[in-house]
Formats: sequence, C-alpha cells, structure tokens
Amino acid sequence: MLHIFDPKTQTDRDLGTPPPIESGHTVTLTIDGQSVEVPEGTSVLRAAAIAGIQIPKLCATDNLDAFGSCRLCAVEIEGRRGLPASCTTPVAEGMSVITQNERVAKLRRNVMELYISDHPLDCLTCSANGDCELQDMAGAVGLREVRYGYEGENHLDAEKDTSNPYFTFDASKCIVCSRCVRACEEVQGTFALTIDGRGFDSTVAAGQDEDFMDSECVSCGACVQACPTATLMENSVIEQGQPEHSVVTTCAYCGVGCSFKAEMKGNTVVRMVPFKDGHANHGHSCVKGRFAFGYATHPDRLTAPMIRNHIDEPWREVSWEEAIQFAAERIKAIQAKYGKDSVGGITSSRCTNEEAYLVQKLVRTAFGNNNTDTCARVCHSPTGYGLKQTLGESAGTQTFDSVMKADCIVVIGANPTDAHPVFGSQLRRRLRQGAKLIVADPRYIDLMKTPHGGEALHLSLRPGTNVALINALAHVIITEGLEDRMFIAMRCDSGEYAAWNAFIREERHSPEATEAITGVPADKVREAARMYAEAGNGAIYYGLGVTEHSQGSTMVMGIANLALATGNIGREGVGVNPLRGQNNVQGSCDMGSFPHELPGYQHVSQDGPRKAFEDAWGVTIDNEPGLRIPNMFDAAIDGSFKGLYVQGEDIAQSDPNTQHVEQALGSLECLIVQDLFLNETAKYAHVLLPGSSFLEKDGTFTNAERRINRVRKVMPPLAGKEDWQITQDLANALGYRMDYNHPEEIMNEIASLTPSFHSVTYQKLDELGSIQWPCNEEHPNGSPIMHEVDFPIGKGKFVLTDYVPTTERTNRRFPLLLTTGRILSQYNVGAQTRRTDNQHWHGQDWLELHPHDAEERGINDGDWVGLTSRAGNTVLQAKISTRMQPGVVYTTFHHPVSGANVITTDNSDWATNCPEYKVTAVQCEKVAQPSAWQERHRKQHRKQWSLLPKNAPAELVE
Amino acid sequence: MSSKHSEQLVKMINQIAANTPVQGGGPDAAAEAVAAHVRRFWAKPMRADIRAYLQDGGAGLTELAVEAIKRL
Repeated sequence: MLHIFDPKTQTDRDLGTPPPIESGHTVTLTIDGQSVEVPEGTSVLRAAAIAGIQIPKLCATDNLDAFGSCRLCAVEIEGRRGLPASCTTPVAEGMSVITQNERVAKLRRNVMELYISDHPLDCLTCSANGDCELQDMAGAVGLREVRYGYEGENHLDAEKDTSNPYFTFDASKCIVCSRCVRACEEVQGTFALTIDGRGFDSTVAAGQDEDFMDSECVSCGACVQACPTATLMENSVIEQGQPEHSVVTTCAYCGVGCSFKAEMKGNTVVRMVPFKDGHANHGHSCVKGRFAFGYATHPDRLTAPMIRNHIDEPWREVSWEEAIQFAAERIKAIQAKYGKDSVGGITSSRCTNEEAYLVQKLVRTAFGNNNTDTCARVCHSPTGYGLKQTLGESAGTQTFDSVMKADCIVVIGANPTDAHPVFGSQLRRRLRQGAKLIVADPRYIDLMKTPHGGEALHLSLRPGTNVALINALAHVIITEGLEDRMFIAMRCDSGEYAAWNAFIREERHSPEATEAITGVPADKVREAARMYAEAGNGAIYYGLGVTEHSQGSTMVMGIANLALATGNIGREGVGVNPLRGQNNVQGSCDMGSFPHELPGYQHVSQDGPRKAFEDAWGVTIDNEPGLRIPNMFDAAIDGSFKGLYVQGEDIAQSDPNTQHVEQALGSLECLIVQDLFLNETAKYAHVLLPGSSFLEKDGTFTNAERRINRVRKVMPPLAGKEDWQITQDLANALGYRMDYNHPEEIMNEIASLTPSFHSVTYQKLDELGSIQWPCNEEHPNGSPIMHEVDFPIGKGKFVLTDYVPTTERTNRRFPLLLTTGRILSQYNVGAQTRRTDNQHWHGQDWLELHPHDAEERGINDGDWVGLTSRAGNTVLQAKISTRMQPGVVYTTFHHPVSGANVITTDNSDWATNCPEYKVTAVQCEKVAQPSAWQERHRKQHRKQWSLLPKNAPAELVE
Repeated sequence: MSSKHSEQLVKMINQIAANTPVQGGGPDAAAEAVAAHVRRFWAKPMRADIRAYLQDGGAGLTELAVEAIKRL
C-alpha cells in the first residue's frame, strides 16, 4: 500500500521574500486592519503572507532576494506617497498597509495587461496549465481584456532552446521577471544566466547568448523551479502533463541527502522537485537528484530472480522461492564443507538503514560470523576510525547549515561542487558573503573560482603528502602561539596534549622542512595556518582525498588535532566535516556493517552491548572481528572464503586492483548479487536477486550530517520485493526466523539496541521532518551540533601523527602519479547515471594531464593514451588540462570499460584497509588500441550479456 | 596459506607498526599498541596466519611487528 505524505506546512508555502537576518526585535504593523507582529526587516509582502493575506506577485519568491521589478505586489501604505512594491518595502512600527482597494487593483490589472499583451494565449495547450503563476495572477487581479491587442511588436515567435535533455527554454513565454537569473546566482551560485539587451529587447540568455548545453549551466534545475510560467519547463511535464499527487522522499545519490517531492501520476514519477522544507537542501537540487531518476524504470532493470550453477552457464529465470532456496542451500553446503567462517556479506551504502541493518544481522545470525562489511570500507572507513579515536564518535560534527557561520572554510581532498553539489552551492553562498577559502588538493577545483567569492588560497600538494601538510599547519599554529589555550585546557586531555605539543613543535614538521615533501611553498602554509586559526570560526570539510590514502586514518586524526588545537569544535560555524560519498555511507556504518562493530559502533568484543544483541536476536555472536572486504578477497584467493552475499555494491568496478578482485570473485562457489542491474560483480554471480530502487521502498537514509531522512515508497517494486524483504526471505531460508512486516519495525529494533538511536521513531521523523543522531533520552529531538559540552570519551584526544610516506612511489618506469575522482553528472560506478541523459555531459572517462607531461610524450587532446601502473594497464582518451600540477594525472571511474581500477593498487590505509585510490605511480604513452584487459572486459561483457534469458533487456549499456 | 596471502599480511602488520601512534612508554608500549590494534580489527584466522608465519621464520617482518605478533 502506498502512503501519501505531502505535508502542507507553513514552510512549503511561498511567502514571497526570504526571512530577514535575525535581529531579535519584532515590529507590529497593521495590514488590512489586522495587527501583525513580525521580525524586524521582514518585507510587507512576507508579513502579509504570514498573516494569511496573499498579495499578487510575479518576480518575488521566498528563496530569492526581493527584486521589485514586476510591480504586481504594489500596496498602499498610509502616509506614504505612491504605491510601493511590498516585496522591497520593509515593515515599520505602526505602519498601516492596505493590500486591496480600487487604486491598487487598477494598477495590478494594468501591469498584467502589459504582460499578457506579449504572451501567447495558448493556456489550454500550455505545459504549465494548472501550474502557472502568470495564469493565477491574471485570475487574481481580474484581468478581462487586453486593450493593446496582440498585433504589435512582440516575442511570440522566439525560438525554443531544446539543447538540455531535461528541460526546454521557451523564450516566447518569458516575462523577464529574472527569477531564473537570480536563482542561478543566489541559489546555485553558477551565474550562467543573464538578462541580455535592454528595455523591450531584454531576454534571458545562457552564457554568452549560447544554448543552455553550451553554456556554464550545470542543469541543477533551480531556474526551472523558479520560473513562474512555462518558459523553463521539465520535458517530462511537457510530455506527460501535470502530476496529480506527490510524496516527500530522500534522494538516493550523494551524501547530502536532499529531500524531494516525487511528483506522480499514478505510479509514474513525472518529476522530482526539491522539497523546500528539506533540512539538508532547503529546496535546492543538482542534475542527478533533480533529473537523473530515469534509471529506475530503465529497460536494463533486472525484474526476475535468476540462478545458475556456474558463471559460464546461461542464467535461468526462476521464482523468488526457488532462487532464495537455491542461494540458501549453496551457502549451507559451503559452510558444512569449509566451516561457518567461509561465507560473508556486504551491506550497501545505497540501500536504507533498515536494509543494511538486516544484512549484517543476517550475517551475524544466519551465517553465524562477523564477516560483514560495507562499501564505506573503500571510502570513509578512516573517518570512522580517526574521529572515534580523537573525538569519540565516528561522525561529522556539524549541520550543513553551520557553514553559513564559518569565517574560514578549509576544503581538503574534496570537490563539493561536483561530488556534493547542493552543499557546494551553500558553501559558495557563504564564500560570496566573504568567508575565506583554503583548498588543499593536488587539483584545481571549481570552488576556487567561485564567482564573487572572497579570498582563496590553493595549497596544491603532491598526492600522498596530506599528513606532512596537516602537521605543518599545526606546527605553525603551535609555534606562533595561535592555539586556543582555554579550549585545550577545558576540553582536551592535558597529558596527550603536552605530548602532541612537543611532537608538533619539532622542526621536521615546519613548513620549511616539509616543503620538499608536499611541494607547497612554506609561506603559503604559514598564511593558511594563520587564516584558519585567526578566522574566528574555522570549519574543515574533507572528502576521499583525505581518506583514500595509506595514511587516511592518520590524516583524519591530524584534521581533528587541528580543530581541537584551535578550539574549532562544539559550536556553529566550525567543526570537522567528512563529506560522505554515497547517500547512506554514514547510515551503513551506523548500522553495524563493519566486521568489528555492532550497530552504533559497539565493538563485538564488548560483552555488554553484545549480550543485548544476543538476547534480542536469540543467538550467540562471535566476539572476534570478522573479515573486511579486502581480507575477504585475499581469503577467497587463498581458498578459505567461498560464499558472498552482496547487497547493492559493484565491488568488481569500484574496488581497487580489478584483476585481483576478479580473481577473488572467480574463486567463489556461491556469489549472491542483489542489485538493480547486471553490474560488473553480477557477471561472477550464481544467484541474481533483483533489487528495488529508492522509489520502490520505505526506510531511512542518514546523510553526511548524521541526518536521518525518511525514504518513502512512491511505486511498487518492479520485481515484487523491497530489498529488506529479500534479505528477510534469505534469512528464513537459512533457518533464522525474521518476520518484519514493515521497515518501521526494523527501525524500532535498531532504536532499542543502539544508544544513539534510542528515541528515533518513524512518527518522530514525520513530525520533525528529519533527525540528526544522537537522538536519545539526553537529546530527544536529535543533535545538530556535536561535542558542545563534552566528548563521548570525556576529553578530546590529541594523537601523534607521524608522516610515513606511501610505498607507492614514482620511479623512472612509472614517473607520474595518478589520482582519481568524480564528476558532477555521474555517480560512483555510474550504474544509475549512465542509464540516464546525464550521459550527455560525461559519456566517457578522460585522462586529464598537464600540458607539460603531454608535450613530453607527444600526446594531444583527444589522443588515446595507454596508462600503466604496477597493477595493470588500460587505455583512456586524453584531455590536456592545467587543473593538474605537472607530474600528476587524473581520471574518473564512472565507466566500467575505462578500467580506472585496473590501474589502482592493493595498497591501503594502515588502520582500516581503505584502498589508496588517490596515489598510483603510472606511465602514459600514446597508443592505437585498447588494453588487453579492456579487450577481455568487452568479450566478457558480451558473453555475460548473452547468458541472460531471451526476455532480458536487449539494449547493451557498456 | 599462499605466499601472496602471507605477503599481504606482512605488508599490513608492518604498516600498522610504522603508523600506530604511541605516546611514550618505550618499545613495550609500542608493541602492545600494535598488538591491540590487530586484536581489535583483524579476524581470528588472519591473526593465526601471521602467528604461524612468524613461527616459520617471519621473513620481512619489522622488529616492532615481530614483538607485536608475539603478544597476540
């Protein structure tokens, strides 16, 4: 059954102008005889809307600053001359406003008459019919005739721009209200749109009067959202008409966790509209969440369970019962032959909390071991380890909104405008307000060129030298006396601080001494350290450029040291903020997916928490940690690990050293893959269980700010089952009883066993909209900012962070360093986004290299380049770019055929085994044909595709 | 245990030994810190394998790694 959830809250209404900056004072005025008390600085338009009085408007909307161009919101104010625009007029004490009388009505009708005289009168066939503010306002002002006629000069024949695959720009319907231009500037921060020409010739133009696709437009949809007419309209609405109901849910792309209204016609999603009351995104979106949802109904979706005895055999479509039975019998047989520890499971960071919880529960109960892990292993496991060691909790410390109070923002190894675009926009908003920016990254990222941004410093370090840099920054802070002594004395362990202080003061950590290691000039390091320490509020944001190194965990602890030393913890505007990659990386970690931890980061060796789980689950839980993903691969190749259940993760594409992973997967006697598509891993599978997309199930995701958001089912699962149901069936077939009727029951169990979730309920999530954990007796409504008073471990811990160079080094054979990353339009392994029109932006992975390195090798833009490392070789097309420093090359890993991970090695973080994706020594040369691995991959892809049953999807997405 | 597998375990424990932060206490404390990390994060069969590897000579293990393995 579908539950419609469409709250008509105050915040979902358009109040015309944004709330004012808080001053703590209120103003009382009279509007249409009604006394209204509002915060000082509120516009008359907003004050009226709060009082329930709707003043007609066109250019005003409450997520954009007042503009005062349409003149429709004119009102009469006692004692003032003329008819001022209510959107740009702030309230004043004792003011008396009249919003309706013959004088203002006449003005509004005249204004509307002018608009309509140059607007097509095709309302009945217009795509905005039923959702057009111009139409509504014509009705509201009572426009009955257009005295000017329609014959004069007009824009009715203006050409449509259909270059963007997701929306159409129909200039003939434009009223030049500038909402799109302002949304692009104020909400998105790209400044791709402008008003070209003057007076009657004014038109909206993208870039230098280019097509939308050729301009800097990033297709975030903010302009489409802002447009009051059909000028900017989703193609899906043009094709299908207006939606008839909507359900609020959470995006399944990155770790920002944007809330969306899935606007529906029956079981079909017409469009995804960013939800204004979404606590992570406040009504903004990116090209992925807003538009790239077509994968959910792509013909490639697996819709029937399939089994086979051997990976060279054709797949056989079978019933759910037979597939589950087949899987269970194989697992049982393997355990009988090789022992109970010979099997394991991987939970998905794309599935819900409830689903991740259930998979690890299945492993710990039905499998009877702790061999559970999650894709966080290969991204943020060092965050979990490092922050637990230093701050006592494996999570970021802030809300996203906290950045609006930051004075200096440090971004390390992250590219927010591509990988976390909605947060990237918020960050840019703060930079436009004057916050200073420090970027530590081997690559020049777009954040550095924020239009109208303030001071920005780029520390372009050599890949693999993060720890040397963070130590140098700390050295400056301590030796120049920039530390926050009060905070250190009050909040941190004094003995550990004294040891760290002595350590970090050593000359070997000085910027001058580390310059030769990092490549960053000492004076720049000193400048950055001063900027951060003296800013007032210094906030650090970091991504996989921190964690995916052999010293990933050390670097996370180094970041925490820096924040503790400067007192930048425990209030708004500061903090240590990991930017999580996938939608539910935080959640899958919280849910006990790691082999050494039960839900809530409770180590399996701790008797108390383990007993609570044993009592609730009715089994004995192993008190020893299980195997991590790389350990599973090693054990598989070694012959002691034979069965694996993978929920929604494509380890064959996403994990490093592909040939090693392929060898491991090929060694398994039973690989059960539960996924939406025949992904790379599924090619090695014996059982394929078709999973459900985020649109097809209920549950929760937890984003990078620990925010638990509801995922709500908007359509039935394509293959008949939600992912949690599949796991439950498998557990039952293995002989461990699970009988949940709804994910809510799973969440209740999670809450009962996990101290930081004790007070989380679906009812509370509906009431509050979202909850940031810890949410328990102490924090009944959640905890936006952590460590305000103390740390879960009492005092903050300083940790010694010696720089230990990676063993992955350049030499004459491999003189370049490869580092990998993401791009805005694609997501992770691309399984979802490659099956959408996002392909228009990034249809293949490119090898970016510096002109100097290209010239030395005779490589030109667009040449095919062989890329060789100690692990393997592949071929990519070259893109010459000065974003990279000489000696460093870069690629993304969104397309399987690129084989980016054929190149990456099995080096990993010392503490967590998180792969060292960011540093691989390579050589490049011009080539004429694909690599041997790519040839093999193509052949295998064709073969595996041919093994699908006849009624399987015909289209082949490589 | 294959040589590839043991090579991997040796690499991992040497890396832990090189990176585990220790504040004072001398070599004993360092060895105990490394051993504690391994106990906390390594599965039992991996610990058994590295112990067996040390008994077979332990080629390639750093001094601190050897001391830590002895404590497992």
